[in-house]
Amino acid sequence: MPTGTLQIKLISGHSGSVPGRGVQREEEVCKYVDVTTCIGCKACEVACVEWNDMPFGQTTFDNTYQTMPSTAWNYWNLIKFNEHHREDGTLQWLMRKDQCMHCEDPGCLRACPADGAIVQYTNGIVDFQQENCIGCQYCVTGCPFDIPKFNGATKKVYKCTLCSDRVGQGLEPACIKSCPTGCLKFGTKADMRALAETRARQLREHSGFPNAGVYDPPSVGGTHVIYVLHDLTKPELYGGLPANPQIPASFTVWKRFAKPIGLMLGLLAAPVAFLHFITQGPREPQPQMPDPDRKAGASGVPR
Amino acid sequence: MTNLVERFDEAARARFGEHTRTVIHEGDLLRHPAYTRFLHWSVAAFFVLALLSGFAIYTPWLYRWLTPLFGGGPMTRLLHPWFSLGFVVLFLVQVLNWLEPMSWNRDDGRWMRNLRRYVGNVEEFEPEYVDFFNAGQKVYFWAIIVSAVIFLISGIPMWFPETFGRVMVAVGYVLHDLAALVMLVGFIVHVYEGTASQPGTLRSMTRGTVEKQWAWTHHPRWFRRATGLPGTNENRAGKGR
Amino acid sequence: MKTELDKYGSIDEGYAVVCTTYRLTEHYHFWTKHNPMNVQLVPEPFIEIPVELADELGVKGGERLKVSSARASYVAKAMVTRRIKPMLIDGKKTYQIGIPIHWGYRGIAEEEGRTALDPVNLLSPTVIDPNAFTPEYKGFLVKIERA
Repeated sequence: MPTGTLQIKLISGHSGSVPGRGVQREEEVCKYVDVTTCIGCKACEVACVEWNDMPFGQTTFDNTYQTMPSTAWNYWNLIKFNEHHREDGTLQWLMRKDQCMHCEDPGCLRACPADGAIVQYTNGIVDFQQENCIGCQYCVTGCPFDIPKFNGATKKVYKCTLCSDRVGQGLEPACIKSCPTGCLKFGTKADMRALAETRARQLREHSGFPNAGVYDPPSVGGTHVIYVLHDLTKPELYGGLPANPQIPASFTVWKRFAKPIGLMLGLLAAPVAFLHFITQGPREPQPQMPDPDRKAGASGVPR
Repeated sequence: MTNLVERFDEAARARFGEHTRTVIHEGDLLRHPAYTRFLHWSVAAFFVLALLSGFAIYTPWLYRWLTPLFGGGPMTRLLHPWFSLGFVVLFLVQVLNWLEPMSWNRDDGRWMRNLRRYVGNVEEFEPEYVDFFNAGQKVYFWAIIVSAVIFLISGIPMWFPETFGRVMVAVGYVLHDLAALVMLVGFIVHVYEGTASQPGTLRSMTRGTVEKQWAWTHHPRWFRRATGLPGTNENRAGKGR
Repeated sequence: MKTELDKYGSIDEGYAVVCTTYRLTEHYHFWTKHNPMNVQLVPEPFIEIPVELADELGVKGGERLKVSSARASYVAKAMVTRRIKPMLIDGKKTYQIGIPIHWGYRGIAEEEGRTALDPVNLLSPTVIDPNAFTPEYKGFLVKIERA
């Protein structure tokens, strides 16, 4: 994957320092998605497939306009449709562009045991480097948004790259470029957040959506894809967006602390055994037969 | 059921005996026949391969050291479950072989309560009730059985995550680690006890025989039964292998 | 010049459902059913029907429906939706259904039976605006049954 001018600040499964950490001034990028003005035209889906030259798959009719139930190894960007009845009886046809959220604290990267299979650039993009992937699929379990998808033939995992190759050359991602309504924007995290807050305020004050807000979950350190939602209190309505995304404790507390401490304690058995050998000595076979009626422990033979 | 196990065991041992050789010198005792030795070392080989390939994935600290042994990361991940399956299958046969002499009795509880004397090498001889296997060896045996079950139950979902889902993988991740650490410690202790700590032990598993002196020092009750000597009032019946 | 297709259905004859035709963003006219990208986005023809009508017919999403007008019939899978609400016309509950136009004749999915063999415009009447000659595809009467 060509990285252009991208520097790496975090590497999965890596012991030791990361050369690119803190060595470059870089703005964090962000993809802005205004769910309230999306028309579900799927230009972004097509742009992603075309830019990444992904092979076409077979889909089946499933009583929805949604192309397929979930992202796939060859389909990284998916509009999720949901017909929602509000309390006042009106109907909303909710459409949310689903793809990797590029978390600041990525669960996939935390879970990955393979050195260099998942990297995070200084601009915030989380990218898979399939050459180093071992196909264990821990990232699938580690991701709170269920994004990475496994390909059984290549035994690797794939997901949205936030067009790291385009961004590395100073271009916006393919989906952003293709959007006809302007509900997708790309820029620095600060700029996109400001835009999102402005739009959310507009929805609250002028458009009758008192719960409108910006989805940028702090539980994963914030994300480099932010949504403007009509109703921030019910993100699950938008195709199952988690309200409080969490990385499973197995890949945080357990992996970070219990594993190394456990290993060190376990390996301690070797020096302890050696110490035992040099202080207690081996138990040599005895030249004389023991007295069969001796009490257990009383041998009478001097050490 | 036990009858079937015994018959399989006898048949396997007899078959092995026909094609192998164990030389018993004057003054030595036969401890582990060829069948047992074959099982032990093939289980050990698969165990070590599974241990090394598993610990490669266990922590980034070991990843770069251990994955080259198996041809890289993807190969390590691919091979680890197969090594483990080989270990489980062969160990199952070994369990059938050793079920009887490894069964727990009241003397084993007594031995465990006096563990400090054993570790501190307080006595020259083992207590006279120590039979073919002492309680420490039995504890290791049963710990491997429990760990193997935990490895299987936690490992299969991690081998096929698409089938079993994220919750089983996240839970299995922790259980697999716990069993692995217990087995790591047990393995180190086992190798120490079988080599440097008790001279004359390793040959029992390589050549199959031990000296009389070794036998009456470490496993007095087995020695008395194997040589037909009269026992004490507390002598209990039981086969040793 | 009149042909045998110049017939118009009426409610008395049982054609009590209003039908309209429209386009999808994922397809364009009749040629995108040959393009794998478009076929991946929307693979099969469908008929959008209101939830209330589906319940009346005892039909679930994905089941095949036959829509007939006075002129022809069309078979495709049902898409059950809440977006099309029943209307109250002259005190009577009237349903509207919608059919995207993009299938008919061949298509790359034909071998698996995932296409419509006739175009939906056989259903619509040959009525045109007298000045512009724009055809009337947007409102005509049909009846629905299970296929």
